[in-house]
Amino acid sequence: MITADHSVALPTHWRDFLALTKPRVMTLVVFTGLCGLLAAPGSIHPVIAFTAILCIAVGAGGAAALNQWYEAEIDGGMKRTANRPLPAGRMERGSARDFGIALSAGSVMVMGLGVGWLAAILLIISIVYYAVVYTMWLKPRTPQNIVVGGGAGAFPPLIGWVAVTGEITLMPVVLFAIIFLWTPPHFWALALFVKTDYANVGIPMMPVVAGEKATRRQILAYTVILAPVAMAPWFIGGAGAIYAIGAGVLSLAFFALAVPVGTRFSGPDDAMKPEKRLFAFSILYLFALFGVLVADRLAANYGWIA
Amino acid sequence: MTPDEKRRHSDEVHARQKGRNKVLGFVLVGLVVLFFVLTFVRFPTPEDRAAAAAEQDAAQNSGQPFG
Repeated sequence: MITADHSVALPTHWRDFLALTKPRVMTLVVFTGLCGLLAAPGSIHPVIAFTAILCIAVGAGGAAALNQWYEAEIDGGMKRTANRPLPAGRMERGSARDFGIALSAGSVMVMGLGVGWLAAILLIISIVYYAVVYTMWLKPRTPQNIVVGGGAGAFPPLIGWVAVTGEITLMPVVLFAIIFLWTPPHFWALALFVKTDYANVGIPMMPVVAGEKATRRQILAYTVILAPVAMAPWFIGGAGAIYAIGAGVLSLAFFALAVPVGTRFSGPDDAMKPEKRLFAFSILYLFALFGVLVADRLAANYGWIA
Repeated sequence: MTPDEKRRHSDEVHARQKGRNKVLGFVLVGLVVLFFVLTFVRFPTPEDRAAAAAEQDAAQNSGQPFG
């Protein structure tokens, strides 16, 4: 690129391409995908398992790059995202778009050829769901954006499971449902303490459009619905006692942290501590819930539990 | 831009290009290794081919379509 003073602009640093893939979000995607793969009945060659997880990670990275390409201007208006490579001017928009398309297409092709085409189809659905349905369509239009959009983040355990079994059964659908119902309380807890950011850029997040009271009520409602769904793997016989105890304790803790968020109202200059605590715990909750599922299934495989 | 600034800018451009080339190189080598290993893993062994042939024969002998 030649700039106005005829000097050559610095090429984008490779770390900015990495940042475009949202590595922190990717850790949760990789973890839940890996848990789906490890919890599934049957066996998979380690190389194919590695390929499946790599494709899930790269596909998520591609979807994240497309999300940042489309939302560059919105990101520039929010404190939390203003330093991302595009709004900070460290990368051209076209580069982010091309990078996102290349990662998405590459991951789907490798998944199809190396793992299986059902897993590849699910991967492409999850990418389109996040980059198009959520980012381009739902997010700027409806306060229910992350309720429906939560489906995008719910695909990894389903894909991991299908990579092993080659078919969609009730258990991976339940894992999908857990993340689907976990997303609203997780994201709205965040939205409550960054709502001015969203309001400034015109994104109709629930606290901006429906107000704090309605958001808090819905956080509590989704937490209540999440608890039995989190227990469902045990109800349907897909998990044993270790999972049942773990999921029960985690759901109680989630509920205990959601109650103060659901029943209070923030004042001026509020530190929003209960909301920040719930947001932080929600991440731990998902890691721990899927971790305990894998522990349960490994224990069952070794014959320690039924 | 002073000559000194120009030189530093040019060094930075080269450093970033070098860094990107290195990362791209690692990615490409990684993909070559992955595809190579995947080919071995997914390529049918003589035992797999014999089992598939036996299954096909059995299906033909019983008059059922091979699935």
